Amino acid sequence: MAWHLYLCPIIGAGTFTDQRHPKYISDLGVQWSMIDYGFQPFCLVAANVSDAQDAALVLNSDVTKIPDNLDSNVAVTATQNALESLQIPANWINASNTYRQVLRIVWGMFNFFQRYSVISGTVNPLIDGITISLSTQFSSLPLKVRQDLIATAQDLNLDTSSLSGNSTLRQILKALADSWGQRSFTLGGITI
Amino acid sequence: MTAFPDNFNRANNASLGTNYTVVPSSGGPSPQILSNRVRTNNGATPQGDWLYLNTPTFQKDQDVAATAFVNAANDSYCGTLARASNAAFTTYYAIADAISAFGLGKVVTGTFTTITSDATVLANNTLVELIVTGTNLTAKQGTVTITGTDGAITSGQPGLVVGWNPGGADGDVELDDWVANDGIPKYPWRQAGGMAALIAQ
Repeated sequence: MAWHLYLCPIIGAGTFTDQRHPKYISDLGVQWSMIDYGFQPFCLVAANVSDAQDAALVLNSDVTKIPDNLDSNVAVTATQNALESLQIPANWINASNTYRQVLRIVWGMFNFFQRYSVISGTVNPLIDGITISLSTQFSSLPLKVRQDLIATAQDLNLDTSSLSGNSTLRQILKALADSWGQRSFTLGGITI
Repeated sequence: MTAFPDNFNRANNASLGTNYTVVPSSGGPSPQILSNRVRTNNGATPQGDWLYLNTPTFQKDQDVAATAFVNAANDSYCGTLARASNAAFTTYYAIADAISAFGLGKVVTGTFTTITSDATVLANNTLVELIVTGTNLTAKQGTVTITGTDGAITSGQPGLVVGWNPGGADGDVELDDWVANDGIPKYPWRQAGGMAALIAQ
């Protein structure tokens, strides 16, 4: 058994008996731990799995395994594609970034949307990819969403200067994550 | 620092008293005190009784523990809560189950998310504990420790939960010697004299 990191969908209705949880992994009966992207339906999960379980997990087209060596440089295009497909801004990634650096920025974005869910009082994904996408400008968002985004940033003591005018959600999330900084965090048996 | 223990050593009652708020949206009634322990109170349909302490007000970093007893190995569960509030039901929880996985999770506006899971089932007379410090979450079930990271909930009160799913019943599991602290890391109830010393303060 060994700990590995994956990006995967979240499933579950959110009731007590059908809680939101990582797809596939929670069926394995192994120890796992995830951080969610607020109520966006995706998560980063660490799982303590066997080689056979790991091999089976990566066969799923909606599961992306993060390389075990987090201090290696990222495969730029593959990483960008994997993150952008989950509505996670990734156009800032370049070949000098390590997976650890990228994951810490992603944690900043995830943490922001986690807190946003409580402050906004909504359990619906903000970015649905249809009416609101990463390219949506701040000024085009509904008033309550704008207010809640600002309130969340203020609550987390983040720089709010990106939350205005023509800034896109892509730019805003990256700026907020930069303000959050390169904070170490632990998922299961992996310190990132 | 705030510390509050409750050993439930009082007369049998259909509720834990006015210093606890039962979270209405959880669907469960108040748990009851029976023979100086806490158990569910319905007897008819599966239920989860979630509640939190009203006063004193706790700081955001909390350590909430209780001793869990298993009287029958059915699908029944119990645990402790941190940063709980009645704002449409929001809390972090550690829940141990007599036949299924140990879970660390959150409830946001009534929606449940499992953050960390471990397959260990609850054994009789086991300490269940939830420690929340900043965005770091730690849940303990006896010698089993699981951790998580989450930034959703930043304030609220300590609490507890008892419940059962289909196949379970009132009294399958019980809680006793519940204690909450804030200002972690300070665990006065673990010092000399334990719960009795803390209650005597």
